[in-house]
Amino acid sequence: MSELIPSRKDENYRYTQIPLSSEGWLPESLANCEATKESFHAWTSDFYIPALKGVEVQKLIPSREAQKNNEWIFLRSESSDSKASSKKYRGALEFVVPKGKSYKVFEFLESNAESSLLMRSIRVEEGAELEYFVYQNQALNHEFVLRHFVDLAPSAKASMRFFHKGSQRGQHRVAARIAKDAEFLLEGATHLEASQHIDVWAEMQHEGATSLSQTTVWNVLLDQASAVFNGMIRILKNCPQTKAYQSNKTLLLSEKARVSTIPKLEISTDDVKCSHGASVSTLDPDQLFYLRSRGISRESAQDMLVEAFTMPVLQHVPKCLLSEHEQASLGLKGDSHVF
Amino acid sequence: MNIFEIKNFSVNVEGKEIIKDFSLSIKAGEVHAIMGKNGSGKTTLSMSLMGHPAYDVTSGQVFLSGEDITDLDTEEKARKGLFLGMQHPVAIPGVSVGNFLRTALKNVWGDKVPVTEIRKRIKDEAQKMKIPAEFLSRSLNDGFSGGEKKKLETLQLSLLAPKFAIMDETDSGLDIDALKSVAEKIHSLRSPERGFLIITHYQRILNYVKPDYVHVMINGKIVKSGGPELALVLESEGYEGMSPVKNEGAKA
Repeated sequence: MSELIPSRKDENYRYTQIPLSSEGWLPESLANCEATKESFHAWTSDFYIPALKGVEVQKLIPSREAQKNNEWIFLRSESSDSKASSKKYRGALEFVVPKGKSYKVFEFLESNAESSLLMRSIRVEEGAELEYFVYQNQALNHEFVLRHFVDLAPSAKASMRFFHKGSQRGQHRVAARIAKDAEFLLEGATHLEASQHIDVWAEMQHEGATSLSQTTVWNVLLDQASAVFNGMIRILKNCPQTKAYQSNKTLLLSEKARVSTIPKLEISTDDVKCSHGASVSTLDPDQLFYLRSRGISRESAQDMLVEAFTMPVLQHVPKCLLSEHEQASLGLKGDSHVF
Repeated sequence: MNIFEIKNFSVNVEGKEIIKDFSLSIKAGEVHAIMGKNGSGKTTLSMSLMGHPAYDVTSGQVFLSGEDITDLDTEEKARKGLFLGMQHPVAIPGVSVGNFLRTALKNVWGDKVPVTEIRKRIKDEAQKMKIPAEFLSRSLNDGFSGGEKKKLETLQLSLLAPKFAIMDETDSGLDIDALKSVAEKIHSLRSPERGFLIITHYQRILNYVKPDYVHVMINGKIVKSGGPELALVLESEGYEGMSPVKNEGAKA
């Protein structure tokens, strides 16, 4: 099965810095397990079956009370206090948002483990709605592979947002199958420094007419940090009046920071609206000047502009679920955009 | 005492000299107006006085309350009491008006004013100017109408209470009602300790903020100076009749 694991010869993996092992491009600790191979198999054949062999698939079932009040479902990775000795962890989770229901899920990934392999399989049933936020702030020596497979039934709506701040290296892949009249919004951001590297994949597969996907990923890169955006819009046959948009925006704050953007479109239906674009910029001198002209120091002004760049994502963090200490350590200002 | 003084100030933009040996002195309590047509160098003057990096000051000095501020960083100039109301305030999506105002006031006032007091002052001043509370949660200048942008510039002027304010074409993009409201606010902020430099194309803002002196600027230089009546002459005769003469600004 090892041939199922891609190598750097594959165009899509050329830019990732996930260390190559003898078996592929995964961290050593994860590469030599059948489950990992199986996960690739699942991806390449039918990505709705992301079974990890040897790992119990957890089922997420919110309490009736939570459902009634439309409360956030809080998924926390193993905490840095309780299992500090654990070097790696793997997990698989699947859940279904039943027909007509609405779920909100916050996945907070923070630990001192060396590596993690996490698979999430989500089915949003007809007319159901899902709001999902992933905040990744793993230890700075951490390596991860994180996957979200989202299957949207007709007229389902889902938004997924992610923010990557921690880890040495990681790959996050979000793949969605979008049925007729379904809508999927993907908004993600990375804020990386030193030699951090994050490889983001966004694959939108439209399988029904009048479906919609909107993908935007913002990167803020300092020092020698690097990011990859691997985006795919795939519109299958017989999906008229589908709309699919994809955008990657990067703020490069150092000469040595790098971003590789690989946008792709595969369209097999006429009568669709699609766009993809990428921009790379540094801080706007006029914006900096405006803030400084009101007495704000250069450093504070830069911090404000950097925070503003990823604000479209950060403003959706359900801060109510985090302690004040956690909010402060993540640099989340409680009142930055609400007066 | 001169609250603001510009001496032999020259500015290049992309290698071309736009402001040429410009001098002007303004006493505390005075309002001066600089009028000039498009391309005369008015915005270059205001932006370079505040220290925008795209404008290269090649010679001259600028004094605020007698202190040479020519080489200070932009934020230092602001903290010492210089304010520039901009012609085109830049939009900054993701930075809320409230957060921006709080941060600016914290930087200018230092730690001596508690955050709760800063919040209160912002809210009170906004209320006085009939600015709705939700305006403070919006992104800075993002999607604002011309009137809203200039109203926010005036709110900042009022909160920061500078020693000297340069208002660069505050009247542009405003309808008659908005112009009246913004100009009356500026007028209300006149004080014996504060000076103003109003930069404009048109005379109409000067109906509300009556200047002590009016200067005509052509090709980066003051070509004529006079009292408020000069604005009325310009309004009826236009800039064409203004022949370049020796810079008289320093005498004003």
